[in-house]
Amino acid sequence: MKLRIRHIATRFALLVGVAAVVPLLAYGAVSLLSLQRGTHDSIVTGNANVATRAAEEIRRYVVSNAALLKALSADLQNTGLERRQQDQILKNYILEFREFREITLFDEAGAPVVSSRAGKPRIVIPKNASPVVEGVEMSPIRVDEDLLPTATFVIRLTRLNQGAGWLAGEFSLEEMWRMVDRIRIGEHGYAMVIAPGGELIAHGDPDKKALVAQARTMTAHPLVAAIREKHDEAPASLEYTDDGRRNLGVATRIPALGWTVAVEQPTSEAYANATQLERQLRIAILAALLVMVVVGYLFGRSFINPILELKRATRDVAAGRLSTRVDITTGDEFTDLGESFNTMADRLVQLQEDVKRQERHAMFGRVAAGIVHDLSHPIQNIGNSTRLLLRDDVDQESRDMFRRTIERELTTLKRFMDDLRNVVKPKPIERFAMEVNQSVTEIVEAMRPEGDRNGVLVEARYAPGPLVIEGDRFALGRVYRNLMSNAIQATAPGGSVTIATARVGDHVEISVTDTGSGIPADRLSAIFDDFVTTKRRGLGLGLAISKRIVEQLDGTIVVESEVGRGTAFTLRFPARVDRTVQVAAS
Amino acid sequence: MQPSLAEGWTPQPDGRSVVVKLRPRITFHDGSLLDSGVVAKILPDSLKGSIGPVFTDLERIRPTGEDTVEITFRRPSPFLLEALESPIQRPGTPPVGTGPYVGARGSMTAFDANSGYYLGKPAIEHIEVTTYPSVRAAWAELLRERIDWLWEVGPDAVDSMTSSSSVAMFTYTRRYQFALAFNPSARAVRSRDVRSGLNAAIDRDRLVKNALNGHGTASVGMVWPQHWALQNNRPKPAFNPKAATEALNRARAKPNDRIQFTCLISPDALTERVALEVKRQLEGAGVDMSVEELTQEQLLERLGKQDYDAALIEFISGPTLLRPYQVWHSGAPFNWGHFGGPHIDKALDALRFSGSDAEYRTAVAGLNQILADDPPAVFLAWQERARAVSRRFSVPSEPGRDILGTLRLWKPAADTRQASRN
Repeated sequence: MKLRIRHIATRFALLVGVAAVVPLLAYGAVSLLSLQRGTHDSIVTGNANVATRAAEEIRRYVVSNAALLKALSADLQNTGLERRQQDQILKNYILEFREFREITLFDEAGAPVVSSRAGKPRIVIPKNASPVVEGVEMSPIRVDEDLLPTATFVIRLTRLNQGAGWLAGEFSLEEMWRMVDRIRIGEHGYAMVIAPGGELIAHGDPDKKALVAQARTMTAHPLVAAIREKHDEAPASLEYTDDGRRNLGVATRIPALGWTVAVEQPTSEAYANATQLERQLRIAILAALLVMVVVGYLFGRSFINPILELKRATRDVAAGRLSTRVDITTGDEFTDLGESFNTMADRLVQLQEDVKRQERHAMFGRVAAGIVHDLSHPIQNIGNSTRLLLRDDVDQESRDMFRRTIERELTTLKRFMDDLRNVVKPKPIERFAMEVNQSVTEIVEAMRPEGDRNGVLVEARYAPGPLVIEGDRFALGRVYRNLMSNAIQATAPGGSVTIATARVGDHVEISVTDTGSGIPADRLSAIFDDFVTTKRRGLGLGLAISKRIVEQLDGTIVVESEVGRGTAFTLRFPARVDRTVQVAAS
Repeated sequence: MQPSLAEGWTPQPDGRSVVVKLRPRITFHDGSLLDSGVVAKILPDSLKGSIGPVFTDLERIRPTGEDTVEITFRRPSPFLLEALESPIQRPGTPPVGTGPYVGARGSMTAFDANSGYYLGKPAIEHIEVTTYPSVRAAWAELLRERIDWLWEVGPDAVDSMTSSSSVAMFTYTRRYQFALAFNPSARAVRSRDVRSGLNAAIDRDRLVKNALNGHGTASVGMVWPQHWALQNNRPKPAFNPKAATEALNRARAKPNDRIQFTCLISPDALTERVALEVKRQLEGAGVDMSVEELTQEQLLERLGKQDYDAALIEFISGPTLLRPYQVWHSGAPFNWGHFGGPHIDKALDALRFSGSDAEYRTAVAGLNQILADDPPAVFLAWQERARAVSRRFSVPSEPGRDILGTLRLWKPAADTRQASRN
């Protein structure tokens, strides 16, 4: 479905969104992703370095102590030392090198010869030792009574390629323990050392030292399992859950010893900085978005406001409020547009004034022509009747007729003057019961001569009477006359004008129908307005006054017309119930 | 000294007696009342067995009121006053005491809080004692929260345990010190020059560092380092290589003779390490010290027979001078090896009979001088140890003092509802 965007503000917002917000969001997403990945890689690398360094230091520590014992064995062998001297050397060694708890020299039969111990030697020659440095083997690690990881180094002594006993040293990896204790990553990141058999032999977490005391096997630890599955020497890294805590761990091997050094840190701490940065980045992006929206909104408003102002002004002008002007001071094309609009509005006002002036002129001409038209006929009749009346050869009957004509036309003039006055100051209606057929008959008689003069047949059809309404006989006479006169004038010679009465329910209808030219539909609705006329002459007051009179008598007047076929006006009044005919005072 | 069962004491004008006022309503574990009459009856027997010759300084102990006891001396006797720190126990099997805990019925390893304890019933209701084959095993149990208190942790293990967040370590200096005690009748060390030379040859600070892992205090003699009489009266450290060389040279028959002697030790790794460090330092001074490890019984037997040159033993030496008196004075109850000699007896008796603080200080200075001039032993170091207690307990402590003294005030920490039960 095609999206229709009807408002420029919406379009503008979408434009800002597409042009600025979307790239910003994309930038934010890429930044967050990079931050997370970069942090993870950085922490893994850092922790791997720690583990690798620790592994190397532990290896050196063990190997150097093995080398120490090897050097001691060289001192004891083939140097011609007495037992007492050997004993002294061993005892001094013990004090000098604290890692060695006991060093004992055994003969070929495995019996102790000299020992660093004052009492009976406790050390035994280990059976399951494995090489750690050339000539020195090391037993599996165990944890001694002081909770220190301990192993036994043993060196096979030879003389002339013959076995000459063993030198065994109980080696306490106290320094390794301390080394592991010193490794602290953040607040809760610790190192641990796992023996080849999976036994935990050192843990930097004080609360995990119990696991060392318990000789806890770590083979099930995810990190230990991960490093064991690796076939190369590279460190293994893993995120895993241990003790209900999510950790990031790195492990590396000490190949010479078969030990594993692992470093683990809670992810909550490892990623704390990144999380904070991420939060700050999110806030910054949101703030930027907000600023962008606000700036976009303000800028958009400044951009759209002139358009909206022009829109409002245009609507005002369209509604006829031509005094509306715009005040756009953006200094850009909108200012030019605003000035153009104002110029256009000024011009429209000027044009309207011109039109009004022209209309006033036309109206004046039309009114003048109407007055002339409406007055000329009565005046002419009066003049003719007066002239005929002044002749001596006119009989009395004719004189009476001329006199009545003069009186009638004077009445017409008077009524015309009343019409004009009525336009300026409407005259109150005086209601009386009147019989419609009778009033229509009077007007038909009055208008028939005019019809005859114009070659128009004036007919009347009366419904069975009496048809009584509440009306003003004089006012309704003016209405009939207006309608009849207009109909005669609109009807070409040979045509007809019919006035008919009818009773329709509780109403009485009077219709005036002609076979004239008809009124165009576009003008039909305005024919009852003041000074609107379809005729070439006349004030255009007749129908307006007629409508006002009808409505004052609680009646209605409707018109139906078809160009070329004629027009029909229908008056409709409430019928009076008692049907009593009272003739209004004439 | 602080009063315990006593509220206080008042020296009498005659200068030879003191009236001790007892706390009111003190009871033994069996509920019987401890009053002045009971004290007057029990205390002489208790002192007689524990203070040896000093007991002869006591003339009588008699009740002077329901809660007051008058103790009369034959002569001024600071040691007898110091001996009054001894516990009051009514004879029996087992003896009946007055302390905050009482042995649980039918058990030799369990104790119940003494609800009638005169300072208030302890917060911990019940204590059970369990033994383990090794410190490691006990430590593991402590970390597993199956036990709450590890009695004592040696200097080698302290460092590896102090960082635990679930266990609090309380270090304190034991009132015992390592001393290389000489047999005054042994030919190898009979010479005063030999003993003085050996005394001056040992660098105690180095010994503390190497043998005790730094967890100890170098000794300056027989007297507890915090003893009041040592204030402004502390002797110089004995370590003086030049004086050692001179003294030992004087002792040698020929200039290049090596002085040799044998040192007996008990089968203890720490004692052995101290012995080896002493041996090494003496080697540097041209002295060969052989180390012979014996069982405790063998050691006591050899000491009793004076069949030894020297013995490296951890002697009780504080906090009062009565303690070393009981070890180093001839005829004292703990002088198993006939240590010391007439000059030491004289110096200790000067202490024993000093009639004032000034005399006491002078006597302490005299003792220190004797120890420097004609040492009966090489006083080496006071060992620092630690007690490990689960942090589920709130333990009042003062730096350097043994928390055992505050056991009755221990209580479960605020957030701990129940301590572990073994």
